[in-house]
Amino acid sequence: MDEDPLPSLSHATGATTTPNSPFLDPRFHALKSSSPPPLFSENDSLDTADVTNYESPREKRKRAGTWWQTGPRGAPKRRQFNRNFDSGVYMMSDDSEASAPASSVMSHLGFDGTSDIPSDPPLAPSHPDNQEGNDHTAGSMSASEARLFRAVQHCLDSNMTYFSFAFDLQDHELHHLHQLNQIITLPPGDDIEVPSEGQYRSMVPEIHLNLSWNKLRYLSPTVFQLQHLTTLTLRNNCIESVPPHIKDLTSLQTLDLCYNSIRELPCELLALCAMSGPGRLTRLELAGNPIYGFNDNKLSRLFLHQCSTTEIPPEFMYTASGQHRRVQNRRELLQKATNMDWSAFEGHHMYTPPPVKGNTSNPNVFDDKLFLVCRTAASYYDQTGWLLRNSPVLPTQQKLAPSYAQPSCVTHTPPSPGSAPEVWFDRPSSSKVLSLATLSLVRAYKTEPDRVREEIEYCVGGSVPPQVEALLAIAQENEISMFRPLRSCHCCGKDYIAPRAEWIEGWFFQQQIVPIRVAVCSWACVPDVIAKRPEPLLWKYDRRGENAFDIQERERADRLRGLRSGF
Amino acid sequence: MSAQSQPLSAYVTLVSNDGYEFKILRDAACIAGTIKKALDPASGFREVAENRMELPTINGVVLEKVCEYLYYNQKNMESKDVPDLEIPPELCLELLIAADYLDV
Ligand SMILES: [Zn+2]
Repeated sequence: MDEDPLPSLSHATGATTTPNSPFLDPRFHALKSSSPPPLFSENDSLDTADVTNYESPREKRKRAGTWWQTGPRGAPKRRQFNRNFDSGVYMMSDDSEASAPASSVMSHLGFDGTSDIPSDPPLAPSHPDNQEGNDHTAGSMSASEARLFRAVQHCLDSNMTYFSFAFDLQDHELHHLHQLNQIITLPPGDDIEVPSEGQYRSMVPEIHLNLSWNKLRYLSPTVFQLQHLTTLTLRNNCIESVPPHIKDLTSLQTLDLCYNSIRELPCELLALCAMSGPGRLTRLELAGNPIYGFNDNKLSRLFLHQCSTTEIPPEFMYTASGQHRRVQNRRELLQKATNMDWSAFEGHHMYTPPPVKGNTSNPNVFDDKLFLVCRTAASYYDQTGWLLRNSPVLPTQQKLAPSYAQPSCVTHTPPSPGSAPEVWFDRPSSSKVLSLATLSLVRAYKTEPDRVREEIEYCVGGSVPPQVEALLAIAQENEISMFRPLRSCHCCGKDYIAPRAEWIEGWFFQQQIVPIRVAVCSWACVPDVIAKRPEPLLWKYDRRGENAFDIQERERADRLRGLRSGF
Repeated sequence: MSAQSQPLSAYVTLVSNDGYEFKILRDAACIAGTIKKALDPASGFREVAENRMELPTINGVVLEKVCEYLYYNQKNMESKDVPDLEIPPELCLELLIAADYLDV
């Protein structure tokens, strides 16, 4: 208050007509009540108010300056803003080690790594991620990191486009991969066959990166900055969640996540699946993961909202054990799916792909299409990320919250096929306004992300209030799994910290149902089609006018009766 | 606003620790959980009779922003597209603590 000019409120300046202090002027209290609420603003009159009323003790500024500009203890500016150049990194290049595996893999896969090796490495473009390049000289690297470093160098020197690194790597060691951005496609030289007419060759390099058999859990931002990454293979790691940054890999065609610990995939993946053109994701391998299956005993039989003519056939689902199996009678299923009315779901969140339109008589047109087949009810959380009482637990989080698991989940299981859930948790309110605590903390993280906790502790003199502590903990988790303390709402795009609601959608893609996790910043951001109680499902009547379910039930009852009478 | 029809006064006064008074609509003020509890007619606190609440931990600048937020929240409760609330970075940590205290 003493030094800093007060923030101006652009929209509020017109609201106050009194030239004197809006705080202290008695006329201020006598505003007409039917008019729009008075907005308090500190315009030019505030200075006078401040001077004339400075008798009461003020504790606002404990120290000079703003909290992010001058640290409490005069901390120097962090080196984040220093720029380093990785001159000389090529001195590290050592082709003695990793050449054999890399080249053998290459020849095995037939990638074009044998073209002429440039004697000079391509000039390193000063990449923003380079800052750590100099910090990790060979002396400070772990053995695996040094191996990766040398292998990357070797591959670059050989101008390869297939990279396979299995050195027990951990997430933080991956930053060396940023050098793969230097890869270029060599123009055809004299010794390379000139492509014949019609065989145009793209000058955009295709990078194939295989990081199988490492110890990766969360990956690294570096991986998602490799803009020409075409194939990413991550088999046999410890990955539990795929970061939302996956959407930045716009050239990715194959994503192999087999043999990890993945239960669901991020909503952002839909952006890659729905792309058109050659850069579209065409292969998604998920075998060997505990993928959430929509027909799991407790949770499945999820209802298809708005699909009054059909249900999810069992073939359409994963088996209960989590092992997925290919859809059997695809033709029938695809026809069923296209008969559903999904119009209510069009654009229900930011990553909803354009609706599938096609000729149902030719199911093949759906081979490369993506469509929604089922979803769970939404789980609702309070401001600090705790599940609301009676709200269903997110099925993929069950193992994390066993105490919540049973009672709420049962509500998802309709007593018989074709009926709506008996219990439905209604959305508590529908305001999109974020809490002031969240707004303030988001602002703090945007200003100086690395110092927020420290500054809060300083502000309150040590003990952080529990609600704030809870938000800080979630921001910390976000930082680890998403490389950023803030999340971005899947429905409105706003930055927030703790999800207020989440649900899982089943998207049919490449002959499997991919569970996609959607998270939003406010209860109101849950689309109405997700929030409202589904209509009861009607079963398609067959020619005899009998309900298919009735027929099944009757047949089963008949069989049972037959068995009993037999004994 | 519906506050007009209530038997309680439509406005309540919030007082900062440095003596600034903010008279704001009761409906808006009660968005903050702590204020709502303190002004609950059934509670019989002194605050109820005086329609006045002293906030010994919040200073005037921060309290003004809190009031702005309360109106912002009230105004946008039904909005589909909520505009951003401008929060000056030098205030955000104090606001965070105040928001936690006021449960808003
Ligand atoms: Zn949102």
